[in-house]
Formats: sequence, structure tokens, C-alpha cells
Amino acid sequence: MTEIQSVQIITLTIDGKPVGASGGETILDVAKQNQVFIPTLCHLEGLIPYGACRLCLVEIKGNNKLVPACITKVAEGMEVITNNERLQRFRRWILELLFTERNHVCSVCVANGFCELQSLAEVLGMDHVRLPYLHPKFVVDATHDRFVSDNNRCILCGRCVRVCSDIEGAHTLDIMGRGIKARIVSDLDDDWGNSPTCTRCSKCVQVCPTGAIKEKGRRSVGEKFKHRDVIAHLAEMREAAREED
Amino acid sequence: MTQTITIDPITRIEGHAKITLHLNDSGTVERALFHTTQFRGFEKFCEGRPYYEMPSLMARSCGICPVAHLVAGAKACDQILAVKIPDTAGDLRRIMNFAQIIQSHALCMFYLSAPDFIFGFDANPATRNIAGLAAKNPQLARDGIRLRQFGQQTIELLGGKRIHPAWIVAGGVSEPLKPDHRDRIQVQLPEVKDIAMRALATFKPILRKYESEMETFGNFPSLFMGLVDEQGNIQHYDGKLRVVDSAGNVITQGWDPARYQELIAEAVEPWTFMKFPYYKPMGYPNGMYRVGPLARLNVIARCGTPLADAELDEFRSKYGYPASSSYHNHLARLIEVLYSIERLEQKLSDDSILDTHVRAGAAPNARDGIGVAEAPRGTIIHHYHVDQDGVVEWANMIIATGHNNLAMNRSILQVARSYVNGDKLTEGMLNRVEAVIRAYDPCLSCSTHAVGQMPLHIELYDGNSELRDTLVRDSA
Amino acid sequence: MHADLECVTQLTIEHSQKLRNYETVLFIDASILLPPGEWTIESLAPHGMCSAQASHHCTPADVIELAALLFDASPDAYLLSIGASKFDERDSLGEPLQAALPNIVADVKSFDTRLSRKN
Repeated sequence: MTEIQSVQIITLTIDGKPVGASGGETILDVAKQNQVFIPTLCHLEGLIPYGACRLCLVEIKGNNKLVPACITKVAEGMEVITNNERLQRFRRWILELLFTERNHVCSVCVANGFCELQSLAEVLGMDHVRLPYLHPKFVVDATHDRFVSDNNRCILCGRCVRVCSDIEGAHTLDIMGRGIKARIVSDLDDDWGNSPTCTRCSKCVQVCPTGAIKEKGRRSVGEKFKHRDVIAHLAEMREAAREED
Repeated sequence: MTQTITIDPITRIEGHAKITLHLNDSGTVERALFHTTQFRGFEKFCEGRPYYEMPSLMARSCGICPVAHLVAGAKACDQILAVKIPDTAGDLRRIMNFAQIIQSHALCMFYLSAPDFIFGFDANPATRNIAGLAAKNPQLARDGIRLRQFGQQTIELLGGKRIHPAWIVAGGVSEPLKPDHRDRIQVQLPEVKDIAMRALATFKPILRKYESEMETFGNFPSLFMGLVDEQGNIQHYDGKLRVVDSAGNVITQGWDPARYQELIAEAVEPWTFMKFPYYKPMGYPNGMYRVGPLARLNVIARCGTPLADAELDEFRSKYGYPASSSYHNHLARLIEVLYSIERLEQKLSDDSILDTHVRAGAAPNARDGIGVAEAPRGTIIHHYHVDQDGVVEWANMIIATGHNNLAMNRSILQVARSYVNGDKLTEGMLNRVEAVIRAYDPCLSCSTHAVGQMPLHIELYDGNSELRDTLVRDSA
Repeated sequence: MHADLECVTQLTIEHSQKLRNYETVLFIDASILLPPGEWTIESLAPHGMCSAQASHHCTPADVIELAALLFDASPDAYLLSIGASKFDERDSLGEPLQAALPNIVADVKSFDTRLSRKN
């Protein structure tokens, strides 16, 4: 018999509004329950939080450091500020740096119109890039018969790596290299088309927030529609199955 | 003392260019150079990109005729996939291409060139513009605006956007034509057809008035090139290349565009970013040829639609065959507008245009794809070479204005010799030099894409036009 | 009073056609001639001059001119010029302009009142 845990009820404020939460929940969870929008990019419902993109940084009163809402647990009496000019500025900076580094030319990208990076830039008002573009040149891996990996459009959110490892259990994809040279590789940096581990499940395509991983076939510029909800659904179903066992 | 006269920049053409006229000691024009000072690099930055991005990527080379680039790019991709696209998809691409020819020709004729014809080339530039036209002949200006609007709306109804729609794709088009969109295009056709007829009736006598311009605006023997169908009728989407000589003899017939490299080579000059394509069998620079509206009318047997054919007959009876002055591009444009409208009538009245099977799918099956189409300004060629997975290894584009480069330089020299005398500069004279360039309606933004090692040569002249300093970057 | 708002980067010849549908048009544009934070509202009327040299480069006066010539449209037209000095990408509003903004907005809001008073 499983042990019944007592649920700890926590009260805190988000943007001055008192809210209730259960212990163990993150600031992002609680914000969502209370219809408070915090922008996220690496976070995806159904995947283990990662805290990589830093777009969800929030202020906590009495704490000089900004904290990522997706991996910071709520605490009693916490006073969270999710939106002010300083946070907006930092979030725009993060987006601007992402746009500066790799080639995100929306107009000719397969994900144009379906891209989370693009829509966040729109929502957060990141309308210009002031720094010089870096555009390191990555080889497009089109060797797989179903998918294309284009590191030039990658923001290293790690969603594909996590879904491949945690949900599919294949762990074909991973990140290799550091800094600007970091890129998504399959297996031991082999051509994706040669991968003995890839199950061809296409979950990586569905979770990719940009046009970095794309399905082949009748999909051209502006046609990379994604089913991102499917991962949360899968995770929930698995959880339910585990509980039945 | 030699002198250099520089006209920079030229107004009322799309893109940027510079002309230098080099006078000799006796004050007559010895050389006329049309410098394209922009560098684009399209062929370079598409390297390493997947083939399916090419139509959209290459279409960005031009905001005036992106549809023609989409068509040529998508046709090249069809070849990489080695598919036969559904017939309806081909017709839908044709319809969008016609719509673009209408809007682009209307822009050139009504907005950019008409003020010269209505007011004369020597008229005050303050009135020699679209507003002056609006004051003098409001119906004509309204007609121009309406034609352009029709073309743009049609493009938008098909592709969802006026400029740079991503609707023409490898294997066909991304969405079928909606019945109500078909109806909305169709219902406007009688009105725009009337406008096209009216424009011809208005402009034909006006264009005839400028006899000396007709004589000197690119009036010289040259080859002409364009696409024709199996019957020798005009083609803007498909067909084979035909070349006629200055006497009207067909010297190349039924040439598969995929073999363009055996027909055309490109020369490079150090003073401009634009390359000089030439007809290979005759060498450089003798193999000078022209493309575009006039060239198309000069290579075809017939248009294949009743009203346009009647106009073609009249055109040939007045100006001979082949008509050699580039000045006639203007009239040729109006005939093409009428032809495009007639073809839209035919295509849209056939219900097969609403077929929903508009896209063929396949993996890359061929390493080379060569797409050729007729843009408003002439033949364009897109050639993509891909690896076995469809990633572009190199690309080559030959664009309408590029084909016309030799002829444009020749035309400028001809006009300069006739109108430039000594070192006196008048607005009318300068405008004629510019006007002859506008006769080609050059789109400099899309034709200046030479790759990499273009040598730069900068000369510094003092007030006495003495060469003071030279800066040279040698080619790599 | 009903108003439509349209934001464009360029005024084109085609905009003249749109003016047919309106009684009053207010163009709002930044001006480098005025010191930052200052603004003027001037009345525009067709004056027989048009500087449009290309299809996509028209001044408000050009559009008014063409609307009158081509479409018999003579809406009451005004140009609100707002002085500014820096136009770099992502420049935010400078202090003088920031301070003046509420007054400019109030001025625009009272625009229709003043118009009706005029009539």
C-alpha cells in the first residue's frame, strides 16, 4: 500500500495577488493555474523541466537573483513578480541573443507561422536585432529518410533530446560541443540516416519550437505544423499506466 | 581633355545603378558603361540549404517579380524530385505568373514610363511623374492603378500574400484554388480587359509620336530569345527556348532549357556586378541577345489568343519583323497584358482549375534541377545542384536583366551618342539615357548576384576630371 | 465618430484610392525638422504638386493630391508631425518626447471636437 502523503498548502503572491498552491509545485505551474502568462521556450508540458532558456526568469521579493519559474518551487509567503520593465528587457535580450547567434530567417523557414521563437518575439516586442549576426555554419543533416536536422535554426532548448530520451526511451539525439559550437547530434555524431537507435517516432519534430527538426515530404516553407500537445498527453497516459501497476 | 559624366542614381527604375559616359577629346561619347553597384550573393548563401527552401529563398531576390522566381525555382525542384506535377498545379502556377505579368507591366507602363510619353522627354521633371499624369489624364492613371491592383489581388487570392507568397512549392502548389476565390478573380476580368484594350488604344498613337526615340532607343541588330510552345506560340511558364537572329531567322529551335549551358555562357567585366550572358555559338560579345516582352513577340509565331494576335499582326505590320528597337518593349508589354487577361479567362472558366489534387510528393531523385520561366522582364533560369539528400551544393541563376546586359550597354551608348553632345547636360538628355534603360524595365535587385570574387575598381577624379587615385582589389 | 487606424511603413500611390471612404484623414509622422517633443498639426490640401517618383514613395501631400485628381476624394486632411532626433533601431522614446506624449495623445483625442467646432 502506498503511503498517503499529506499535501502541504502554501500561500504566496504572484504580482501582488494572493494565490494558493501545493508544496512541490513550481512558480510556473502556479502561475498557469492562475492565468498568469510567463513566457517559456525550453519548457514543454510533459517533459522534465530543464531551466535552459531563462525566458521564464521572475523576481522574488527579498532575493537579488532572478530565478527561472519553471524549476523554482513555490514557498510559503513568497512574493513573485512575473512582469515588469526589467524582466521584459531581459527577456527581449535573451530572444535577441538567440536571433543573433544562428540563422533564423523566418521568411524562408519551414516553421514560419508555427515557430515559438517567432511568436515569442512578437509577443515580447523583440522587433530588431542590434548586435551583429554570428551565423556559424552547420551542416544540414538530411540523411534520414523521414527527418531533417538543421542546427542553423536550433536554439538548444533540449526538448528533442529530452523527448527522445525520457518519453521515447531511445536517446538517439543529444547535444555535442560547447557554446556557439554546441549542436544536436544523433548517436555518436553519426549521420542521422545511419542511426541504429532512432525509432522514427517523430516526437522530436513535434516538440522542436523552431524549424530545426523537420519532417520530410510535402512540407515546404511555412508549412511545419506541429502537434506539441501530444507529448503532454503521452506523459499523462504513461503516468496513469504506472499508477495502475 | 577627356571627361566623365556620371548619372547617379537613375530615378524611376527599381534597384540602383550608375552610368558613366566617357567622352573623348573631341567631346563625343566613346564609351557608356552601365554599372550595377549592388552585390547580392544569392547563389552563395543558398549553398548548404535543403532544396525545398529554394523557391522561397530565391524569390526574395526580387519584390517586383517574385512569382517568376517561385515558378522557376519550383520547376527546378520538380526536376530534383523527378515528378510530373498535377496539371491543375501547373495551371495554377501559370495563373499566378500571368497575374504578376499584369501587375508588373502596369507598374512599368503606367507609373514609370507613361509620364515620359504623355509629357515628352524634355518636360519639366516636376510634372513628368505619376501626379502629372493624374492631372492630365486621370482615367489613364486610374486604369494603371486598377490593373496593378487586379494583378496583386489575384496573387493574394491564390497565395495568401501580395508579395512573396510561399504557395508555389516543389511538386506543385500548397493549396488548391477556392471556388469563391476563382469567382472573385473571374468577375473582374471584363473590366480589366476593357482597361487593357483602352490602354492599347491610348498608347499606340502616343508611342508612335516619338520617332527619334524609336530610332535610337536600342535600335540595332541583335538576337532575341524566349520560350515558345510546340506550335511556336508564346509561353511564359513552360516550353522550349527559341533564338531568332536580327533578320528573323530561327537559329535555335526547340531547345530544351535543361541544356541552357550549351546555349548560353556568362562573361564578367570588372566594372559592374552584373554578368554578361551571351549566345555561346557566336561568342562574346557578338552573341548579344535580348529577352523580355519585345524579344518574346519577336521569337513567337503567334500569341494564340484572338485579341492579342490581332494586336501582334498590327504590331508586326507597323514595326516589321523582327522589331529591332527596344523602344517597342513598351507596346509589347501592353500586348502581353491583354494576352495574360485572355489566358486568365480561358484557364479560370475551366472547372478543372478547382481540382484539389495540386501537389506531387517524392524524395529527391535527381542531382540537378533546372527551372526556366518567362518573367515580366524576360527569361529566367534557376539551376540547383544537390547532394543525394537534396541539400544544395551549388546554384546558378541567370536573370532577365542579366540576359539584357550587353544590349542595355549598347543601347545606352547609342542614345548617348545621339543626345549627348559636348559636356552640356540637360534634363531631357539625361532622361533619355535613363529612359532607354527603363525600356528594358530592368530589375537590378534580382540580376546582381555574381558570386564571391568580383574585383573592385574605384577611381577618384578631381574637379578637372583628372584621374587622381585608383584603388583596385584584384579578383581572388 | 468612428476612426480606422492604419500603420504603414510606406505611403503608396494606391493609398490615394482609400481616401475615398473617409471624411477626415489624419497622417501621423515623425519629423526631423521639429525639436524632439514638439509637434504641429497642419492642414493639407491638394496644391498641384506631387513629388512621388516611385510607386512606393509618397508623402501625405502626394496621397492627398492623387486622391483629389484621381478619385474625386477631398477629405479634410491633416498632418501631425512629431519632432524626434534619433531613429536608430530599437531606440525608445527620448525624454522630451516621453514627456510630451500625453499632451500629443490628448491633442489627437480632442481632434474631432475641434473639427466639429470648426464646422
